Amino acid sequence: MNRAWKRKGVVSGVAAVAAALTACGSGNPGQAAEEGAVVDDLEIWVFSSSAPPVIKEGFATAFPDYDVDVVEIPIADLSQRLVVAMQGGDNLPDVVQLPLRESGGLFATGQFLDLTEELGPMEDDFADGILVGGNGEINAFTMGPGNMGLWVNHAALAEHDIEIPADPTWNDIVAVAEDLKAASGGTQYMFVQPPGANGANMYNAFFSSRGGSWWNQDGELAVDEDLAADTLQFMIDLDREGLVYHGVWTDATYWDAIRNQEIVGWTMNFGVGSTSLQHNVPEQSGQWRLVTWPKWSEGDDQRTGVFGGSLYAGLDGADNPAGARDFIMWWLSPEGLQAQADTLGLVSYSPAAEIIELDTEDPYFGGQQVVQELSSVPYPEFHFFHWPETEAAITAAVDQAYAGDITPEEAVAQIVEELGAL
Amino acid sequence: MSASGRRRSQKYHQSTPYLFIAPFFLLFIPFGAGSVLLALGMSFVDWPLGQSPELVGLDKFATVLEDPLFGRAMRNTLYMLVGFLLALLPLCLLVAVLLKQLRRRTANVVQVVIFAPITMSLIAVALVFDLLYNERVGFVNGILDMIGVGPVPFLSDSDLAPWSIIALRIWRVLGYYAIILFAGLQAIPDEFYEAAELDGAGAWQRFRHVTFPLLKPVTMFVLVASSIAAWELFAEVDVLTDGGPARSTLTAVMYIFGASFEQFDLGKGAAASVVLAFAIIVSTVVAHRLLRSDDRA
Repeated sequence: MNRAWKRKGVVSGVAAVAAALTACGSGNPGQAAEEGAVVDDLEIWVFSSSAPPVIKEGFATAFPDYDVDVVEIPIADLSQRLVVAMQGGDNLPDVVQLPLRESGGLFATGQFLDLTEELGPMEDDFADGILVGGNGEINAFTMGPGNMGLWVNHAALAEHDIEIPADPTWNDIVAVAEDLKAASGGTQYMFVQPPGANGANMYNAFFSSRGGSWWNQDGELAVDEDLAADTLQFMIDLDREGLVYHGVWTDATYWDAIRNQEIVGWTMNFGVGSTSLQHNVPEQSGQWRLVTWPKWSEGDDQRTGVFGGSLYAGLDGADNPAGARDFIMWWLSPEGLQAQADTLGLVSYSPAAEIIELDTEDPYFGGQQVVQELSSVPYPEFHFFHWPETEAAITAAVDQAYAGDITPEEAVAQIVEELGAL
Repeated sequence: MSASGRRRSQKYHQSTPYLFIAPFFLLFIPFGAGSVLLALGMSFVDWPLGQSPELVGLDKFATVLEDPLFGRAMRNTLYMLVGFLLALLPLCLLVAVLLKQLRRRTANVVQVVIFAPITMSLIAVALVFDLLYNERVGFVNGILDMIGVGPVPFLSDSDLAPWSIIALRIWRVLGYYAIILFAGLQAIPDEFYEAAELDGAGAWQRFRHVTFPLLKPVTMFVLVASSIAAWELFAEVDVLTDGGPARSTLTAVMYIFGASFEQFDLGKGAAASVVLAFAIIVSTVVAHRLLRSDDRA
């Protein structure tokens, strides 16, 4: 045997051993690395700045057989980068973190890992609408679900001897807002209406909390138009009565308005409602309380609204599908659940309450068990199909309705007509 | 010099210009012309994410042209373009003429000051204007409040929002184009003005019959360059209004971006790009013709 053939033989042998160890790698976390064998690359794209340290410390420690590369990409650039990578067919990440709202259109392409086998048997452990996917597959579970709550500066209200009644309905909250308006001379607000897409999503949160949806689980248009119009009318009435602060939490002035007690109540999810509040206005610690999402009327079941969330999904054509599955499912291990609770607050996996401690008292909210209370309200079944178009249609119609150019009924008809043409 | 030496020298002189422009074409062919051709090709295919493209002829153009949103985006863009140009060109001329009246040292200082906005990051400028326009704490509304007006919903009123965007764009590019016109003004020999003055022409007549006609080539450049930039309006709108309220500031490029990177329909986005490019070419030809026909008259 000449030298060239010998070299080929050695290379083939090493490759065969490497392939065998790679195949075993995902089944026995940690084992391969302990034996000093093959390390698989696992590329993960994230937009959340809190994710990389958790992934590196938590997942990479639990699975040392993966060489984890976490690439942080601003949320505004993420979908462009992903589209270019998917269209090019190479340089695909193994896993990508996606905003829930953008996931519907992407999953419909059929280019994501089907996790039905892993997540299907666990379906009962998630609320309806938490497991998401396209083409009849389950591609991901929603993390940090956007359960909405009413965040209230309890101390600011107390200065006017105003209190939120126990187990309130929205009519009770409107009455409180009216009292506040009268007591403050119209300088303090219990409601916030942001402009543009955030305003549309705020309206959508109220609508979804009443069981409303634009699309059904099969991606067909399924709107209760009366419910949609009635909800929009409610929000427009708030505005007409001067009970609404117009602004958005991304404005530089927004947190000043909270600091100055101009905004003393607002409807929001955990991420912005609790995390950003504590980060931006630490001096108001102890003043704020969470009021779980009010009912529409006395006899109704309580149900929260949805304001987004995020998820991790694996790419079908990427190099390491086994690693992607390991990574996504790791978030449901005790360490992963704790990481979810630490970074996102809410955990959508119902057995989590028995595995990790979720009933911690939060001193910022006067010792209230905020995570526990927010999660205790049932999540709405809501489907984010065609969301860019849906959000754009809602935004335009809501803008016109707020401006008084069209009625809520006309606004909803306009949305339905636009979505029907898709 | 021998005959062969002369030939070499002649060849050298003939090829020199091409060497100077070669670096531009080395970049333009793959990244400029190549991208245009790629977009043109993509406009004839349906190319779902991660799958192979499929030829669909003119289907994507039909989808775009039948989409009322694209019509809306093009109308908005045209509206903001016309408003922008109608306000920009007279202002630029005025500033250029005023610059010419200043002493050289003063003019130099003023040029630096008015040129500065174009050097600033567009996103940063848009964020600053977002604060200036703010209804509650914005500087502009503060001033208006002092004279008993307002608050004016600069960005949340669908009639005002396009003009608020136009104002930002004018602030940003006014100095840049005014300096170009100023350079054109300086190239006009003083003898023409002296002759016109001897003929009894007043200030307006000197401007109309001397300045304006002789400044036409530069005005043409300003008109074409600013109108192309106006057709491509995106970043300011994305930051300030996101196309709202009620789609009153939705522009053609926002539509293209949405089709490509939010709806993941690259064929539709490419077809819309081709239509936009066609509109830019048509508007450039029209502007050119208008100024040239005026020349003949």
